[in-house]
Amino acid sequence: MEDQLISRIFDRAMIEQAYPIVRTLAPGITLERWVQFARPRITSRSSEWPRGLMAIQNASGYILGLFSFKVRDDLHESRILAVSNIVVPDIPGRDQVGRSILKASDHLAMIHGCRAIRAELNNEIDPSDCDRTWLSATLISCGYSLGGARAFKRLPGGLPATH
Amino acid sequence: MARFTVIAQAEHHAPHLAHPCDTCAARDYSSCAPLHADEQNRLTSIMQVVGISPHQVIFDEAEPADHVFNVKEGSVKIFKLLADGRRQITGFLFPGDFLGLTHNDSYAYSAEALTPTQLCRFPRRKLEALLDELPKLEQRLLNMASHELAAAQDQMMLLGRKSARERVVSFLLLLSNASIRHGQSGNPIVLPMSRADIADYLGLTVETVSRTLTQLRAQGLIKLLDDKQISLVKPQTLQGIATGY
Repeated sequence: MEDQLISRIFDRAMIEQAYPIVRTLAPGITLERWVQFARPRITSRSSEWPRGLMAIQNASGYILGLFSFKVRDDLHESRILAVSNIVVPDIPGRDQVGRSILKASDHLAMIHGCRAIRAELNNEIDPSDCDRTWLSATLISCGYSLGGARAFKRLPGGLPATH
Repeated sequence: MARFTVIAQAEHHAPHLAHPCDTCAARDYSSCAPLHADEQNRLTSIMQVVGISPHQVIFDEAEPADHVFNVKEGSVKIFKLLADGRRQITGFLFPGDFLGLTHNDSYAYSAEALTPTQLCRFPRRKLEALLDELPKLEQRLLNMASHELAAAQDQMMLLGRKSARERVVSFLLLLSNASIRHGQSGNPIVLPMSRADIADYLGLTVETVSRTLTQLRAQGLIKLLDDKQISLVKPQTLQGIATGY
């Protein structure tokens, strides 16, 4: 199933297409605010420290989830992939969209030589909150450790840097 | 007054009568298509087939989102009320399409029948529990190109087109593609919605929509068969217009 979902780096045309997805999680965000947020993120200012927006699409090209990413210098890990603004609408199969997001993050981290991934969550995960439990379960099943509103995963071979 | 007329209800269904799904024209291209007979039976055991008249509200924005619907016959428009009281149509749904799929405590938009419409109605909690047991159905739902989120994304892509001509032509092609996806020829296309609804959806005035259709007809690109049907005479040229060439 997850193979039928495709991860794709945003281009300009996808920004407006993604707006209905963004609005499902943040109904108050206007199209203008979303465009203002997304546009600078689809052009990397540095090839060494890339950043961008990634979409998870189904076979018909409809966007089912998205996240932003940035490769960062990190004192402990040397290079990390910082993932934030994870958006997955509450639809049947959302855990599969979540897993595709984490798989795409793994791939990005690998191609950019990152030792670890740090995911910033929109809210602190409370295990008693049923609506958020799916995300914590998905993160844990994909090898992340959780703490507050953050999730962390060290990649295979990615031991902390020695100084 | 009840909004819906209950047409069929599985738990009250007499075994000697034809099952409502057996005669469903939308079944082949709906999410039910890949289900085995026993899975289909489980799905229909929680379902009611309900009918609704044209221009009747299926649900209102902010109403508790207790049900998920699948369009069996007819057509539906979905819309949001803007802060200034105006209405913005965000999509049109046809047989096989789902509505109410995005789950919040309340519906994020309103839905209204455009034509005499039949809907399969599922209690949300029961459907969610069943989806956990029927992964094929969940996968199909996720990959379907036809639910309110997809319709809203189509609209965003249409609004991104610059000229009125590009928007109207893109809309006609969108309806044609939807019709093909739903097992029909895709040409001619049926327009169950009014010109005002099209204008609202495309962010244009009614006059602009009507004028654009008249121009397309004068150029021999389309033929208006009647008020509700349009033949795409030169589909390739129309495709070029839609993509800005």
